[in-house]
Amino acid sequence: MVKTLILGLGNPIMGDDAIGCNCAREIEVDLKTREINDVEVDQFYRGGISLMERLIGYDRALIIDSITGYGKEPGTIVELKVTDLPSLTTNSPHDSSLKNALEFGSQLGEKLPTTIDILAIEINPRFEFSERLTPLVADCIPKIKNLALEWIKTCSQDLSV
Amino acid sequence: MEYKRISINPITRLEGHGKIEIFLNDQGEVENTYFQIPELRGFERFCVGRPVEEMPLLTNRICGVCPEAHHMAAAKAADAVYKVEIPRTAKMLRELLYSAFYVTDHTTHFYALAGPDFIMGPDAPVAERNILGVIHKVGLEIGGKVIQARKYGHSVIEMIGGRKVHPCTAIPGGQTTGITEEQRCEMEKMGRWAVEFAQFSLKLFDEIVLGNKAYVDLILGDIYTHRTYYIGTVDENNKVNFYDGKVSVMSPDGERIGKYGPNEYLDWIAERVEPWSYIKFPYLKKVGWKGFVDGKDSGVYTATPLSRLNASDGMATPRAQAEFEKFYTTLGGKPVHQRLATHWARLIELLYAAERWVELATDPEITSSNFHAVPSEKPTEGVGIVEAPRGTLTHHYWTDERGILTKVNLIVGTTNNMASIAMSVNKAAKNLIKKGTEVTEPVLNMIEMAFRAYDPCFGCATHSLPGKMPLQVIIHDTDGTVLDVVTRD
Repeated sequence: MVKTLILGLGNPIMGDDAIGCNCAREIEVDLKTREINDVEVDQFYRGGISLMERLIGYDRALIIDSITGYGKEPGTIVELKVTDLPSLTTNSPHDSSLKNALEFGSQLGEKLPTTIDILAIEINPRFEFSERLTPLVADCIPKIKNLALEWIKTCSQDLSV
Repeated sequence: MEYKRISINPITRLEGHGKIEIFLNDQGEVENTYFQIPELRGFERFCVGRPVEEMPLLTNRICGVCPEAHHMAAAKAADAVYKVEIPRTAKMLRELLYSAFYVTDHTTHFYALAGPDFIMGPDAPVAERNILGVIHKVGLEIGGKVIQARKYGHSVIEMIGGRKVHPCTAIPGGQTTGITEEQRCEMEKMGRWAVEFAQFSLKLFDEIVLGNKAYVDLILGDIYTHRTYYIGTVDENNKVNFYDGKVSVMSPDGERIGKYGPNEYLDWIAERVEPWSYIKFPYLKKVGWKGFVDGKDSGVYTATPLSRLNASDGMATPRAQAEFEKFYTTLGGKPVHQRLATHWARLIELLYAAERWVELATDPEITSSNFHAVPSEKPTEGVGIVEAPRGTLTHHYWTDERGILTKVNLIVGTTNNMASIAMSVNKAAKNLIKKGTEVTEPVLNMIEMAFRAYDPCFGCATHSLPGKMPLQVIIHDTDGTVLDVVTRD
């Protein structure tokens, strides 16, 4: 059986950084309502090697996270592949980049998803603790839900081909 | 005097972003260096008005790197607020979880972060100076062991803490749940594997680093050396302990000037601000602030793996104690001031954590059902201290009689080390950039090594994916014109 994971990333008490978690929560409810039971939805709070470890055992994954530095308006959704992410080879004192971590896991023979897509939402990081999303960022949740549903359908079609 | 400015400006996945600004004078030499990080604002204010028992859950969201440390410090502070003595089993369960966490954290730092500087070399191409380069050089089998160590650590965290990432079982008075005999057996087995892995890691360090004269010279050289005070938590025998005890304070001459319990931290630690940084700089109140300088008269101190060893009389487990003795024999006695020796100290702590893991997992009381004492006192005020991997972590809470928080003060691990990190970066820059020096990527990396030894956790709660410009070096002319921009990806 094909194992599919939708993972919302973020810090739930860091304002707009929580957008990935909020989206995952809503998608989980939505999928239950639609009786789509073969997709696992979860929230996660770490990157790099830990994130790679979380992805082990799945065939395909959709990551939803906030993003900074693309120069878009807050709330803009950007669709990315892992290859679009920077390598960040040395500048994190605690971790490896997701790209390097996936390569690391792959070289070790771990079963990692063959498809990893990313829905990133541009935010303006404030470095302030808050449980609230700003309106522009919160407004993108319905769009992300629809994109996630489309992603599930597209993956299913790919598999049936 | 005219100045040129160089910025090392990393934007990281987990830690927000920090940057190093180097100002050159018109002679082309380093005039001064500033290590800047954005402070995460408002956490203390965010907590006020919430029940104190929420803090172990809330504070572990501060940090994506060491939520276990915040969970423990918060739980201990909440115990103190309710003046409740937790049962021995609860204390052991917390320490067992914490030991497993240390194994995962120190393993990751050595193999993924510090290791590349030594295994690949500080001047290796940046594309190779990462964990992929490490496993390419030392073999896939070691990469597999790294993942295994993390997997075992996370398993223990999940079994005791309820979740793999953000534990949720420590509450005022102890733990919400205990462990079964079956889980204990599993933990013991994994702990024994971790001891072997830690010994293997020390052997690897011995062969690759200590066996290379150039690296030994780098470690022992003056570039990365500072004579400061050191602090670290010790048990009643003055041996290193990560979870409980008193904080020992050691002078640069190796004289213990005192020990303080959680309730006494304000007698020992004061904080100051600088106009060029958002972060606070703690210093030893009893010594006083004399600026960013070394020596016995300067209150600058550090709280790192090296500091913990310096501030103690040894390790409480046999294999780690043997490594402790070798460490000081090799490096010329206590205290050791060479900051790059922190990497070695971290591996000795890795071994201690693994040994302690086994000790606790084989204690007959670890499976007892007596893991919680119901608090009965009126809540007031309390302090909890643990040793986070990056330094002494202090949580101080004040509540009203209902247990609702009225004030919160945190001194997080890295904050203790900020003055020393600033000094180390400045010294490395001054030594490495002279008139006519071409500021190449390896030079910048060797400056970064000055702060990487501390394993700093900058504003440790941002999770946004970095879009562009993960590392940018900007070189300004004396009038501010940008001469060059180097982007590292």
